Amino acid sequence: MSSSVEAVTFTFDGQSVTAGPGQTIAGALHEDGVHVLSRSFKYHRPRGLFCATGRCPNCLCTVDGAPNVRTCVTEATEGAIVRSQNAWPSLRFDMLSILDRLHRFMPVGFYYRVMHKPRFLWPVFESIVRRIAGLGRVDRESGGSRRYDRQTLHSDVVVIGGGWAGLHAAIEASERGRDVTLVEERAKLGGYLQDDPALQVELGDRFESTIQRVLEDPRIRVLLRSTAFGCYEDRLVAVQSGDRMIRLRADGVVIATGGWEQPLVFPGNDRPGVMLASGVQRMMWQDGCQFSGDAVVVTDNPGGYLVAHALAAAGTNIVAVVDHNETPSTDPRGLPVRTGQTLYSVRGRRHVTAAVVGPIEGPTSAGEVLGCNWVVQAAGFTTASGLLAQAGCRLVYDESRDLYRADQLVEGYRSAGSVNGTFDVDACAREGRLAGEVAAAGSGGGAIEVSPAERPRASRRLPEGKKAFVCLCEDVTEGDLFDAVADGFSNIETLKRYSTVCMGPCQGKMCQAGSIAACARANGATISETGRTTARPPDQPVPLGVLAGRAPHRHLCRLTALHDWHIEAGAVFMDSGAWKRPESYGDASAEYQAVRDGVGLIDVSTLGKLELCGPDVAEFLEFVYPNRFAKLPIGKVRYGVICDESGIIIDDGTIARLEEDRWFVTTTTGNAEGVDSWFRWWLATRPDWDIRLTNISGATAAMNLAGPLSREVLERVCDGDLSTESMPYLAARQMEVAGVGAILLRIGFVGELGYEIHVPTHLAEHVWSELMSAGAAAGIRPFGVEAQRRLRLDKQHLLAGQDTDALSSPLDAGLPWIVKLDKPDFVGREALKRASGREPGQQLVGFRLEGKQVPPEPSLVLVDGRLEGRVTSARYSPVAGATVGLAWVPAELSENGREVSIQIDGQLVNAVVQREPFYDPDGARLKS
Amino acid sequence: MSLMIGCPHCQRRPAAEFHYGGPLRERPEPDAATDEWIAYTYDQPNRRDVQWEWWFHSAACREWFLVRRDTRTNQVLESRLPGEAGTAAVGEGGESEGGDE
Amino acid sequence: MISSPSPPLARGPLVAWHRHAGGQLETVGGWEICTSHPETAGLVLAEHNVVLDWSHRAVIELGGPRTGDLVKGLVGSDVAVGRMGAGRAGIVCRLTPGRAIVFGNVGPQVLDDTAAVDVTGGWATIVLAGPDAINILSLLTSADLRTRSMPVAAIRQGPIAGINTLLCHFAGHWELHACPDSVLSLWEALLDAGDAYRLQVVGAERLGDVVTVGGGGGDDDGGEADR
Repeated sequence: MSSSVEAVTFTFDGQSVTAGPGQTIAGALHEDGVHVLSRSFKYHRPRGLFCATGRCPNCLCTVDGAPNVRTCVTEATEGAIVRSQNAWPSLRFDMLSILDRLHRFMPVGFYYRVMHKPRFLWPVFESIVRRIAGLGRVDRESGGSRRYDRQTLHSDVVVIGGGWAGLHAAIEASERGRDVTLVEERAKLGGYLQDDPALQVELGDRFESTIQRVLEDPRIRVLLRSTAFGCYEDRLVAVQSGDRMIRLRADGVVIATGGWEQPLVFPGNDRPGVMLASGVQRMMWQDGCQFSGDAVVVTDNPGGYLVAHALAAAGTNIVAVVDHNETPSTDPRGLPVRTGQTLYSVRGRRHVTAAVVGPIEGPTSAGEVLGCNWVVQAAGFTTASGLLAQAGCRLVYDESRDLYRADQLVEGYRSAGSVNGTFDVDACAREGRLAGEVAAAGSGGGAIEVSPAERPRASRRLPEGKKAFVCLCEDVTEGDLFDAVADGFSNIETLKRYSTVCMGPCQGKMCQAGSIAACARANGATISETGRTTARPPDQPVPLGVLAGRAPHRHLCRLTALHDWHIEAGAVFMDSGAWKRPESYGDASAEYQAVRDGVGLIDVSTLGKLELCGPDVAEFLEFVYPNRFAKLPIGKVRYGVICDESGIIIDDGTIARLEEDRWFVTTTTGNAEGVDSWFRWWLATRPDWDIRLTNISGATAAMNLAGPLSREVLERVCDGDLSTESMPYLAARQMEVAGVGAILLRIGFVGELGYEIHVPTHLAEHVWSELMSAGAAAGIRPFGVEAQRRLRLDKQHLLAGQDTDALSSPLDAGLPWIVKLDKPDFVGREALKRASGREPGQQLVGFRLEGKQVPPEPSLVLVDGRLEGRVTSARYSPVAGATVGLAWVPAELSENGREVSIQIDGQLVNAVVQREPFYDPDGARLKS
Repeated sequence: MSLMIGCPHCQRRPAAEFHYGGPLRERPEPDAATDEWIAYTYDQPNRRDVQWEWWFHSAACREWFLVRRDTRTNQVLESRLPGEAGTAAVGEGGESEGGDE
Repeated sequence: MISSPSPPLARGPLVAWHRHAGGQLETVGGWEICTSHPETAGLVLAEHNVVLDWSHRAVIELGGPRTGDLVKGLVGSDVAVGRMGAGRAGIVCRLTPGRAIVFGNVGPQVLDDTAAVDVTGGWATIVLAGPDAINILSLLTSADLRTRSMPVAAIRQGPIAGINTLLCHFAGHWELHACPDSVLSLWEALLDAGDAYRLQVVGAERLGDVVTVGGGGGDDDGGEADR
């Protein structure tokens, strides 16, 4: 995004507007005579350029579909479509401005108090309120084409703010050999000095040469048009740079964010034509804007005279400079000055027509009406210290400056310049140098000393009358705050939440000082006693798309080595955690039947696979599993469940002993990392164990060849002796399959003769294809997860995580035989020992239900109308000729043949408990 | 959470790369009293104190290690490998700078 | 054995991607690989950002207390944690005192050692090279990629695009090693992030041009002294 070198044309609510090179949208509109840019949030009052520095809510428009763009700091682009917000039917004639007249019916917090009764009407009110309230509208059509990014950058020193103090901090840190990132919100470096030609003249060529020095320094990375909006733990600074979020990690952070000019609070202070001096300066010097006609300047410091001179030089007629001080703040040099006076109110509706001025302490009737088109206020700055507060620095009220500033910094942070309440350019440079030095040393923190205040503050007139807005974002007036305090919301934090002051787009930049002052007065307290609300990110408004970034990890998906084969074979995929697995290849019933009658092949690469080597593995397995492993012979595999210390099942799988000291362990899909982490923790607690754990899940693919014909198929591609005598049920072998070294486990999750074949991932497709070819004559079919779930349910094999939950122990889940309490110690032994001595709780049992009605998971199990359990799995089983499933039921109902009721679609259906498998109960087919 | 944690193998990394494993504690002996086992199994200490605790670098080296952290300020003071000298379980000489509150 | 199977054909996890993208597939050394993407076959590499799929590599994982000895045997000297060393057999990446990954053919002597596990196929390798490589990576990882933190011969395990990746910094390129089950997500994230930098895919025929001879694995400038 760089400045255009030519004039561009854009449209505003359909009207064509021309902008000069690099001119902002609001600047071009101003030059075009458009002074009403938006309607206010609550009362729909017309609003125009106010702060003109990207802080206040007045210039928010929708630009090319993006709502709430700050048009005073957004350069116009060719063909941009700019629309005003919050006005209906048009900006000039907003029907809802009637709300402005209904002020007395809409007191602060009214939505908490009215419209909720009668209750049945709330939905009606809600829809109306939702339409009236809110800022801008998200264009669902245009959003998709935007590309948001997220980037991480590292820097020794990060300087936030490219003003005079920030520039010097960056130079100092660079001179000390540190790499520096300088974050500046605006398109150019120099901060407010850019808008103050008079000060630039004082600095001579130091201004330009300092900026050049920074831009040319190879150690300084300058991020322009970039806004730091958050400071997080360990010096992480979040920066928005266009459509990119940059996460900056630094050793030292210098906050040189300067300050914001603060508005005065007086009736009509929100009328178009009332502006802050800094905004007027910026519009004149950066955007080439003119302020034609008559202007009244209100001030209590020399800044007001600077802007008045600048305006006068550009042709504006200065009607009066109204100075709060009894003597002029500086040499007026011919300007018409009214000392000891202030602004009472302004007149005008769509634009200012007159200012009422008079003595600070005088009665309202003493006011004199001065006709004018512009009212410019220069009444002092507050510090932009939100980032410091976020970082945890302590902010205190500095009475001599009438502002909050940091006085106690946290480690790694340093502040410099106007953010400390220092406005003198040389003092800013000094503070910048010092901050750069401290940050370069990687320290910071501690108390900070600031230069003494430059001048005492003049007294202020208290606002009188209505429509004196403290908060432009939320249309909160001084009177609203007094009412809220009277309602009991006297604490600044509750006052904020109740009145919504400081909760709009400006997040307190325009209204925090005013609201604290009002709160203090309403409570009869001092500013210090009143305190301030907590600063939280974002410090500046950030589009949600920028926060989301491209977030690639949200789309992480894990694929097995056979994924492309599955696609070619027409697999229908399902999500299993991050994995994509074939649910079926179109016909789960046929796949089921192929396994029962012939042979099938399923991809089980998603299983976790761990290799454990070392002399102490047997002892380790005895410890982490409730069953026995020490005497497991080489070449054997055994089922095991893993429990935690409370005896709850956290995973199950198989454990094979391949060699004396080499074991192969499988875990459930999606739990490979969990079991790996669990094992590694126990290994870490016992460094004396000589065990090496290698997670070979990624390096190993797995497939299960199952069905009565599986041996015959495997023999075609395998040299080894696969006979039952040589390789019986629960044998584990290492042999070549289709020329590839494999681990073969003869196990039968699906209840048939079968082989789980583990091969290197890169050769999986080869082995799979060879098996499919070898099985062609036998009618082999690939089968998916759905067929596998039906097959295993016939055998009542549980799925950890599906049929068990965070309360399931092996004693209750139908696996009491696996718990060997006579072992001296294992994880969960104590809890299981206690549980075994108690009355049994719910039991996981098989059930059978006549007919084809299948209860969805988790259907309820009812006994005498009481909820007593739930179904965890259920499918129709062709071999059982009935619907079968697993369910948790009370212990007294867990015996074979007991009847329970299962609720399906609101109807109770009778089911019978069956403790032995529905298919091949003695395992003859498994062992064949 | 942008906290940085020092992994003994991978240096300082954002906390999001790790999993927390709770404070370092002694597992009771198998024949310990039931109450001791129940306390160990179900009572998760949550102390305002400096403590040694387990962290797992799940998104990188996948190794467990011990971190000494001040739970009041969330300051990470040091990291060590398990079995290194100087690490102590909670209630087993874990230093106290404010005690249990 | 009844039927004689065809010789095993190895395949990396990105082969299907290459095929769909119009890449030319060939069998080289028992692996089906993408040798060329016709539209980038003549690309001038120094000026462009490129990625290349180098998943057709033998990989060994060394573990346990003897890791250091085995590393010494392969490289000639020990390799510090967080660094890599080049030996005759390939590149040795030292992840922890008790764990190292070796990319390359180490030969049967090491393979038969009980401290070694053949994990070929368990790591997919993406080579990233070009003037904007660091910028592209910075969009996908929170890693500090400044030369000081990540000099040549440094390695770093951690998330890139949310995927646990072993990142290796060579003199003229970066290598990203990840688990084959999630490497397609990593590959697509790289291409997506690289879009703004005109990142292009080249075939394995350009491997020799991208990965400079010798692999650039070890820097003998004493860069390990500070560790």
